[in-house]
Amino acid sequence: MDPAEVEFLAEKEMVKIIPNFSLDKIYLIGGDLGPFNPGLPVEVPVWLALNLKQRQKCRIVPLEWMDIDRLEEIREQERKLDAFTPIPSPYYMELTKLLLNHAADNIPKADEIRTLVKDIWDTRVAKLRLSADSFISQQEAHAQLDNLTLMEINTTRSFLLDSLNYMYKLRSNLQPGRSQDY
Amino acid sequence: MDSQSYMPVPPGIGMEENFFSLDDILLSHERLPCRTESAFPRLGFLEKSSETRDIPEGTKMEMPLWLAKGLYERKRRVLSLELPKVYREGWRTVFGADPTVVDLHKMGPYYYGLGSQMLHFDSPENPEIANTILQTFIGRFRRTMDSSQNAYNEDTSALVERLDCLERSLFKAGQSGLNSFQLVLAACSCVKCGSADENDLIRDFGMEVIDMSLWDGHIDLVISLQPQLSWLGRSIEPIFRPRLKRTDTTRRHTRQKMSDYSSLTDKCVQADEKKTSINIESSDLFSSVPAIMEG
Repeated sequence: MDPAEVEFLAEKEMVKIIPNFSLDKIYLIGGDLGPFNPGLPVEVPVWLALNLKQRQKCRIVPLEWMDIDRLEEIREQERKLDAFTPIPSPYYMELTKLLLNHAADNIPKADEIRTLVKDIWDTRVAKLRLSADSFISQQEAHAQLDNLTLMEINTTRSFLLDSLNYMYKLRSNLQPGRSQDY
Repeated sequence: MDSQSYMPVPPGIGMEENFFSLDDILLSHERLPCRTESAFPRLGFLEKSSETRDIPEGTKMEMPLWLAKGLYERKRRVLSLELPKVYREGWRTVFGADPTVVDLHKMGPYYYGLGSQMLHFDSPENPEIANTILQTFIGRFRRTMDSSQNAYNEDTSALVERLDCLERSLFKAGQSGLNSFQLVLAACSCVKCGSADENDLIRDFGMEVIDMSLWDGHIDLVISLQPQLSWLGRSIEPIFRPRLKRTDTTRRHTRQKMSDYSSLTDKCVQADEKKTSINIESSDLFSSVPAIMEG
């Protein structure tokens, strides 16, 4: 899967905006988006929020987890535990990137937030690599990892699957004379 | 995602080879030392050192794998194969001690593949060979994973040169995953032309962004200098502009740096108009660009 596809899926998340135009309720296939009145917050999907922001028709309200203290707490917890901590949004990496690239003026302390999210990401990916390594070196058949996000899985997917395939190939050498199932 | 007119066939599973796999075909060209158990009449030309017309019984010669596999038969003793030295006792203990130090590319670029094929030849050491190959792979896995996932836009030839072909394909998979992720991460919107991301920039301007990574909240942009330098100034400005959100104390500093930077872009534009190439000191570019970001 392409990281661009993961980003596409991330854009379905809802975010609050404050429009500066007015529009009646619109009926889309994915659902209804409520009437837009200037100055009143309304929940829309991220793709629409970014489009409106680029046309300067709205102001994006920062997500409640995009806050320095909250992210610092998550980062500390991530560093302490060996397992993956549950994080506020399954698309935290993409949402951070999208919102901070397009709407950095609406989000206070954008740079620190970006750094914190990158730290959290690095810690999680390092843990993922560690568990992939122990998975392969102990030749286990089954592993369970909770609280992983799609983007993290995606970066490691092709490498891990290929190496597991190769390991299977080499392991099948140990049992000679096994017939192949066709 | 890659649209190719040719779907490469992967190498086969374990002791089987895929007929159409290029890797397996190249693998089967490896020469193995063997000893003939019966005479081969009128085939003297196969062995360069002998002048006789036939190959007598008991000759030691080298044969490619495909020929050896075809001629090998347990019951009618036509050929007996010796293991290449990489699979023998001595090297097996080396692999057991520390698999990561060995240069597997030098040991025959198809260490794992050839090892799997050797198991066809009924040597008494077969289980140990199979086990050694597996343990070597597991031992080297960590290093391959780390090097492939952390080398973004660098020269990887030093990392890859000690890897066997199987590990190289793994390395490539890891690198492509990393590259596509970084590309998406670094995509930014161009205020001028709607939302253009890095792919558009590369497509439109041939620009190669070497490293666009976030570091301590700043963005260090190192751009490779291509012959057409004029678009350099024009194209990177829109990227920078949305990033210039500054506090009051740094505004003056930024303005100073912006003027440095705009003189640089002016140089580029002039050069383009005069159709001359200009020498930009790398210190010019690299000092002004990151400084803007720190501002």
